[in-house]
Amino acid sequence: MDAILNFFSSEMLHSGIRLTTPILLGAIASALSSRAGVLNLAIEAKMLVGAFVGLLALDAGGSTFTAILAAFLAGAITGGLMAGAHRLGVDLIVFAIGLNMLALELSVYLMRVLFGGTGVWTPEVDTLDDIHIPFIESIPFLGDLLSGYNVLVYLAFAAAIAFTLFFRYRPGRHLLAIGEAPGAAAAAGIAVPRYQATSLIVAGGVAAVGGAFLTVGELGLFTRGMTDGAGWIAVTAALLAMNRPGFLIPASLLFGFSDAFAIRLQSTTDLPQVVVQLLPFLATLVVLGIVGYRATRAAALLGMPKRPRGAAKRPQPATSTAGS
Amino acid sequence: MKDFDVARLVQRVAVPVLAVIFALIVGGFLVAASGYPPADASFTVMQSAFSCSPAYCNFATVLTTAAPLILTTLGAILVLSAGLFSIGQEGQYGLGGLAAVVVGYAIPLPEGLHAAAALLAGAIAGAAVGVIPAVFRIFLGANELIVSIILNSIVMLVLSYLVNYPLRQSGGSASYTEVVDETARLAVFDPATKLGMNIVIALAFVVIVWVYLRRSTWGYEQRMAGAASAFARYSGMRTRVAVIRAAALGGALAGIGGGIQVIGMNYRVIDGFMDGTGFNGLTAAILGGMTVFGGALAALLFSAITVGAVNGLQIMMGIPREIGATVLALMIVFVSVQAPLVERLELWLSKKRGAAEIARRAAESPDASPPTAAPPPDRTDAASSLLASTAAGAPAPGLEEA
Repeated sequence: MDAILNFFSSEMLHSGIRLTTPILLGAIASALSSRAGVLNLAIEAKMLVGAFVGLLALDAGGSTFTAILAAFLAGAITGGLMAGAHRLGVDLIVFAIGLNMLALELSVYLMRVLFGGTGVWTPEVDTLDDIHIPFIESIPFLGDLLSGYNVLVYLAFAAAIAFTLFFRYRPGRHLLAIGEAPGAAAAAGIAVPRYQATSLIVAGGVAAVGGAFLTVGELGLFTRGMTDGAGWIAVTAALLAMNRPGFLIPASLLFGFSDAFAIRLQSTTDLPQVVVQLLPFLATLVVLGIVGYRATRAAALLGMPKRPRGAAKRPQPATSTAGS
Repeated sequence: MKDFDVARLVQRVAVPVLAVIFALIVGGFLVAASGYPPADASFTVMQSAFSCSPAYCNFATVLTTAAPLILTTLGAILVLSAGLFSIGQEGQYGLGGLAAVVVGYAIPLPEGLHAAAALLAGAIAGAAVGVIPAVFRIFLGANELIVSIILNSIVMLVLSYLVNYPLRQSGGSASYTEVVDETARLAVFDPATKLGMNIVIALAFVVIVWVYLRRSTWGYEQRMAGAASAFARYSGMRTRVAVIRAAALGGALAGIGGGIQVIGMNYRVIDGFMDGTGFNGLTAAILGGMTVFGGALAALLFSAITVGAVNGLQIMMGIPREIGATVLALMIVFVSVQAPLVERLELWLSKKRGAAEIARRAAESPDASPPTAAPPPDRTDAASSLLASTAAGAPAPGLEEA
């Protein structure tokens, strides 16, 4: 029993919550885009943009607040590019693949041009301070879970809750309708293109703050591909949550804690950590299978024509021209 | 009609070239930002990518880098042309390489046969990974793109585990597998750059895949399953089989790509073997317009720019090598944006052609009544406006001058 308690050290709880934060912010961005009917695969790019611009602003003498704001704006501009491309009818998947590669390479190129040829840029900046909540801090387990993180961690969880609440109100309902049936939403008088553009822009900003958490919030340095696939994990986490706002926190926690658990496992035992790390991905595959199967079944029950199997249906719903 | 085809061909070629030129211009500005004249930089890239001295042949490096990339590109083209948007080439490449290395050191075989067996193992491993998204899509209705992304992560984790634990070289200081036997290695023409059978195999597969896609029944079936699935099913093709076959063959190609990288170049698999060759294959396929020869050319261009940026810009001029990949990324972005623009251009041109045709017919028929009919609505479809105005028996006034 002691060994188990020891294993779940306060350090592990802390690192679990910290690892969850960028994933959660990215997952919110991914779910928001999906709900607007756009498969947004450029989360990784937006996180990198946020990470780089955030640190750039911090190094340029801005406060941590302006750094995060700059990251948000840079991500929003990237999202705006996507929204514009979507309006033109660009294949957003190809566009996103290009954006991901562009963010990865351009950030390193600019870093090396601006700050010399080394692989890591470590400006002398102060990262965000941890917030210690007075009373809760002293409670054994809860204190570790709830206190001692920087403001972005709390912001991420607050954003997820706000996102859930948003869906209880009129604009959220409209967004839901757009994702389910853009044609019907347009017919009902909802400004589909405007909702989609706004969603993509906000999603870009939110994902970028997730990237800024890594540089401005935690490490205070920038290196090649420093998001390390967190954007892709975020997309996966949003899928595990079936894009439902209420499920985003648990899904992201699963990914974050499996990483923390794996790190802990590696340092305390000889057990291979791969099993723990694989678990959330396998869970997502199962969820995707079940969701897909049920959707096919439901369509059949409603008497809809069977989905053409093996057909050339692009994963992205053609919603670009709806309503315009 | 001839003019029409020529005009179409010119558009099809000219617009991607424009996208590439735009990317180069933006790249030029970025180089200028680093304080070097862009013209010098682009000259250096070309020079160091295509130069060849007795001591060290840069172009040979380009070809060795291109060999596995061409195969992942072909894999991507094969899958995408069946209408299956799977971007799992990275995982297929990784597992294919691992399978090839295991056969390469664990199973003793005579020379020649050994390399073939290693590549076959790579192909099977790649096909096994490649077929999963297709199965998810066809039998469960799940989005194959997402499944393939998750599979990439899973293969990455599994590969890292295998290389770190069960397959780790005993006593090795870092995480890598044993070295493949001499018998399993591909013949090498140029020891300095490892140029050898790898590029020969890759180019052979370019021809094979072209023949498969364009001249075989299976290839026709999978292309139809992708381009016109309703037609394909109506004419009795088994589209599901065709799509799964395409996914398996595409995966096999990417797996062979991993295989030739391992038995032709690295001779072992390290943790971090999945370095983006699969992903780059997908981008080369997109840049090449999803055509076999276009894709192979794009893969060559890809390696030339990458090698040129490293050997030329970084080593000789001190410009960070990331500029090469940045320009490539810009090309993908511009090519993707250009596609709908081309569509609009073609629509506009066909509208103009339709209008000219109407004017010509009106001039030919003498019994043209005065233009009483209202001008046809602003239909985008030239054929339908042609139909509408000939039915009215009058030239459309607004279109005559066109």
